[in-house]
Amino acid sequence: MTAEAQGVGRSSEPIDLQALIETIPALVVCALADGSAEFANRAWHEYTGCSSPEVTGWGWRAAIHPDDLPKLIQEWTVATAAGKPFEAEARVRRADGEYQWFAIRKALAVSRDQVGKPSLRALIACEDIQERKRAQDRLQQSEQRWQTAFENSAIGIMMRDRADRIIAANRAFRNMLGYTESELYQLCQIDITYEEDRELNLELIGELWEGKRQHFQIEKRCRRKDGTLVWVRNNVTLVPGTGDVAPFLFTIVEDVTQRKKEESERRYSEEKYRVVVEAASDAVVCTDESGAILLANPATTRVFGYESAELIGKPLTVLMPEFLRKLHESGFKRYLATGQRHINWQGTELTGLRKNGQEFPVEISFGEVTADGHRIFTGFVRDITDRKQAEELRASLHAAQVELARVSRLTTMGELAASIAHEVNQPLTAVTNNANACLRLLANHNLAPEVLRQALEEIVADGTRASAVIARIRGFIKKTPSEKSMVEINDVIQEVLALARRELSENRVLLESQLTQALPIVLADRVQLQQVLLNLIMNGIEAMAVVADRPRLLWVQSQVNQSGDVLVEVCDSGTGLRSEADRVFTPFFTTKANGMGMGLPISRSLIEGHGGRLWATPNSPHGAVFSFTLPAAAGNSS
Amino acid sequence: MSGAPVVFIVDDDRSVRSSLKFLISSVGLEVESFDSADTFLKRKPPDTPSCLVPTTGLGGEV
Repeated sequence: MTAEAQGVGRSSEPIDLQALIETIPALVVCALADGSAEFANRAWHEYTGCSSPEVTGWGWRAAIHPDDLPKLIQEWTVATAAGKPFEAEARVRRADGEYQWFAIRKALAVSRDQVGKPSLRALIACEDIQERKRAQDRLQQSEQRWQTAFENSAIGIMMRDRADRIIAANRAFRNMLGYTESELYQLCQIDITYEEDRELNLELIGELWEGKRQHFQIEKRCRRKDGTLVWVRNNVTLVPGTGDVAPFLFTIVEDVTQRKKEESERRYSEEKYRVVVEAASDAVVCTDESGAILLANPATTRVFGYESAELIGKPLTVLMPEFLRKLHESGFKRYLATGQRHINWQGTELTGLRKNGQEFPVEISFGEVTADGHRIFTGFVRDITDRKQAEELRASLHAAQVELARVSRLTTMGELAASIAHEVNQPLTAVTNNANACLRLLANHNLAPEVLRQALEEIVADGTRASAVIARIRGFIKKTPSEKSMVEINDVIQEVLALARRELSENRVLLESQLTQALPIVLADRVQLQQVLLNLIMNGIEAMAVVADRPRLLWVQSQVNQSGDVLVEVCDSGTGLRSEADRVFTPFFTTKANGMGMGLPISRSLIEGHGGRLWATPNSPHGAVFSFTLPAAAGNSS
Repeated sequence: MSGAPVVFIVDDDRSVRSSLKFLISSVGLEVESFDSADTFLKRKPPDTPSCLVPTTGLGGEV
């Protein structure tokens, strides 16, 4: 017995330990030093529902959760051996069988037996900590949840302290930057910020810490570990400190590289189109669905005479003459309602109206885009005044050429007049003779029906022959527009030779023709080809007019050349071209006393108008060869 | 050859030649026709009073 223990007992009335313990609201088991129970207080009995005999000895342990008991015993043993206070947590079974968490502590007390002999007791006090335990669990769960959310968040999250050191970074953030967790914790946030963006970033951070703002958002570039840049949008919040936690910056980091790239591409694209529209030589006018002008480029001023600004808001119809306005409005309305276009949207020729009231020809193309649910129409308007004038000029030039060709044909026909007159006169003479003979025989009552029949047949044949000559001439000099058809060149040659037959024979010209059969068909104006051939033949006849010492021979030949074109040659044995070979195609150059000098230039332009060539070469030993080619028409079997 | 007069026609146009022959023979005259001067000249000269109706611009070796 120690003096101290005796002192406790002596200094006061003998304490009824059991009575004292009963007054304690906590669950208490009074045990011997080894832990075997003597008794438990009422609180224990009420809680556990165990009777006294069930508690005594080691019985009290049955109320401890079997999972917690071994640990409890071990810690008891360790604490007792070391002479240290014992404190543990364990679940204790309630009367209804539920376990609740208790903090279990050991206290020493002196007990005296009936004779007053003191002995040491261990008081096992159990304090209900169920609520605290539950709160702790909740906290832990919440912490875990938060940690999981933080780590797995698809968006980057990063925290940094007052010194800008990174103190936490989730996986999304680490992946974005390409650093491991431990590498990041060696870095300051500003270290990974792109140099040019640092100043602004630091300024904003400063304002946060100074309390000038609670939050900021910044789009900036960060440098990845591999040196490449990533565009991020950071939402940064200052989290005020608590007792244990120093204030820190909470940052949500979003990778906006793709969006930035798209934005920049869009800006580039928009800029590109803007430059094109601004620089376009065509007027570009945009309207909304009501037809009001939204935009007009600088070329609009040049084309229509309006300043761009004065057109904004005006209806598109101000750029049209009166007669087109209603048409446009109803067509546009119908298009909006049905999607049906009343004009071709690509290159339609219409009439525009300048500010000064002048109408002018335009070529218009339309485009439509839908932006934010609004339909925007763009018209591209080209002033085609010059083109129209050129077209008209070309048309009148062409008409002049056609007329010139016809005049030339008339001239040729005039040269042929004598022989043609003879050509017509022959059958007419025969008709007259036959008719007169019949009249005479009839008067003498001597006209046998058989004789009459024969005479009439002759008359019919001659009449037909005369009208055929006239028809040929009429076809040749008729004022007809150029008309191309599939033409067999040999037929044309035969027709022309028939026209010139008399002229040839009167000039004592021997005609030889060698026409290759089954030539490719050519797409040509028949009359123009007749004209060219007749011109070449007449030239040949004239070139031989002075030839007396050799046969006057005209040779007409048709064949296919190496390129697959039809080649026609007209050769004569005349005086030849000598030095004039090139000049004969020059307008108004002539070697003839009465020539206009237009025959060959016109012939050449007609052949070239058919995609062919016409040229002259010397003939051997005398005369000249005029040759022309005509391309075979598409679709020839060859 | 009988003593009757003959009209000689030389013309290279068949219609003219035959119609003229028909016309002249319709008044009862003897007619002979030729398509060229050459063929006419090859004929034996007539021994009776005759008439020659040539056409203009005849070809051939005249």
